[in-house]
Amino acid sequence: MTGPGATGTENSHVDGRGSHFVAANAIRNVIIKWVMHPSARWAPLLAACTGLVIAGSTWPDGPASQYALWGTLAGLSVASAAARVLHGKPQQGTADSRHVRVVGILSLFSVLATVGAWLAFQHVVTHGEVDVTGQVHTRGVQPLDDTGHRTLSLLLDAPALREPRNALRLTLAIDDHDPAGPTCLPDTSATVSLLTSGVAAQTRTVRPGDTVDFTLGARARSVRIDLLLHTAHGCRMDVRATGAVLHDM
Amino acid sequence: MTVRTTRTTRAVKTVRTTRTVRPRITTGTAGPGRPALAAGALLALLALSATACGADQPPSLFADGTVQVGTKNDQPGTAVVRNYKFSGFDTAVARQVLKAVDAKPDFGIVPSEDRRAVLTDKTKDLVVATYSITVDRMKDLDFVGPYATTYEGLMVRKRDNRIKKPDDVNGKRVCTWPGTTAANTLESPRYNRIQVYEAPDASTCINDLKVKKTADAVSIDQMILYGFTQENPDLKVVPDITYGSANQYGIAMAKGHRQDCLKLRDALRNYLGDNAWSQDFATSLPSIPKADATWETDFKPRLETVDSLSCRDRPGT
Repeated sequence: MTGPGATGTENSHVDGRGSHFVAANAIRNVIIKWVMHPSARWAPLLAACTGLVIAGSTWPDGPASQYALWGTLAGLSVASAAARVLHGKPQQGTADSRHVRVVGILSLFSVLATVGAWLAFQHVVTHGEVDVTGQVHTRGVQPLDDTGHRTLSLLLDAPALREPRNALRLTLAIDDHDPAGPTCLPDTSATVSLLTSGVAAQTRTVRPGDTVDFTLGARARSVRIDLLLHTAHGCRMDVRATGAVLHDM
Repeated sequence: MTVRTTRTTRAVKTVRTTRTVRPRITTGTAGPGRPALAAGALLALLALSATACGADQPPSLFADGTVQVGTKNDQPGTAVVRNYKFSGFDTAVARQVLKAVDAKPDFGIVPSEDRRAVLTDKTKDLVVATYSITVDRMKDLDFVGPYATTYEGLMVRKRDNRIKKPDDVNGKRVCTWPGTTAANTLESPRYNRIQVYEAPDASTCINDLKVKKTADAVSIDQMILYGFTQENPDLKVVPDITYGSANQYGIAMAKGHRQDCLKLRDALRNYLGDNAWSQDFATSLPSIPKADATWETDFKPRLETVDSLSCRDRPGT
């Protein structure tokens, strides 16, 4: 047996579901109206292309691999936006609701991909790797040897550090000064020390071609790395930075 | 004694083999034998692929048991010819490492300046001739080594006491010969106060120093100089004068024989690891243990260095 109270509860559930349904339907209709509006045909493509132009004009450089996610999403956004533009009106006899669904999905996908690409690009801008290899200066006389000239300083000035990153990855090439003479590479190594104000001193030992990471702290204004060469008697070596990349740890 | 300039017939044999197994691809009409033809064509294709893969692998330098080895003939202690027989430390090293790969050397004479050419034009399989390993040479040749390490030094007449320390050499005439790292080192601006000149070969330099007295000193690797003093008691090596960095002598071969190179490297590692190296060195160059109490430390390379420099296009670190 069911009483009036029970019937009343059932009605209120139905009413709740119904109001949700009405609201969802209203939103759907608004989206469909927006998506199907003649002026909205080009909007996703315009947004995707605008994003590409802004990214190109503010390109922060660094290794190409860090742009993989951005590139994928940007490509998808442009492709889906272009597909939306090219997707013509349905022919006579084709269901109109199917056309609306395809256009809606393409538009939504393109907008989401554009937003995702923008966020990925901003992440690269804020935390991505910055190649400063060309801005490393050396102070000291080369070639270095095992006696009088054993030290060299590698410097990065403020302009190289304008993008705030908390670590520096450094790759050092140590080569024979005279490649036509006997090679000293198997007997050569170097001690490199980060000496930068406000950052704890860090010392590493490297072999020719090795890469080392130094922590720079929150905001280093200049970087100085002192290098002490260890090599065999009579050897003369040249040192240069073949890679210097600022990054966030 | 003549320099052998002919090559073994190994390469010719390879070409002939390739020709005999190359399949002939024909087109035919469809018929009852079509599946058999298809299977035959497939087998022929497989055979062709196998032949092509085989052709990529050069034949082993040790395949026929005899290896053409270029060495010197005018460096007592390291490589010299007496009564048509080669002797010296270089030849001892060649014999030892080749013995480990079941081969034996057939020595021929190679001047310093031709050491690279005889390998690249395939006149010789190996060069064991006090040949220093350098970054530039590693680009063109593979090395197994070092089998010995030595600094460049200075040799003078025994009764000549004018040269005892590096500054004493300034203004003196120093003879060396072409194709050596020693000649290259003394060309450096650091030594521009030394009057360096090049004679055609080692024998001429020794003659200039000893007989003509037109040279005040001869400069080349100390190991070679000590060898000369063994046959020229009226000459001496100045112990406290060295130039440049240590020369690392390697066994050179043309690139493209990496497997053979690695086999020789392993043989050299074993040779350095037991007493045979020290015995051969002391037998060939007795003047060095007499003059240098730490000769094994000074002239015997470390195994890590062998790993860094052997069978590579550039030094490993």
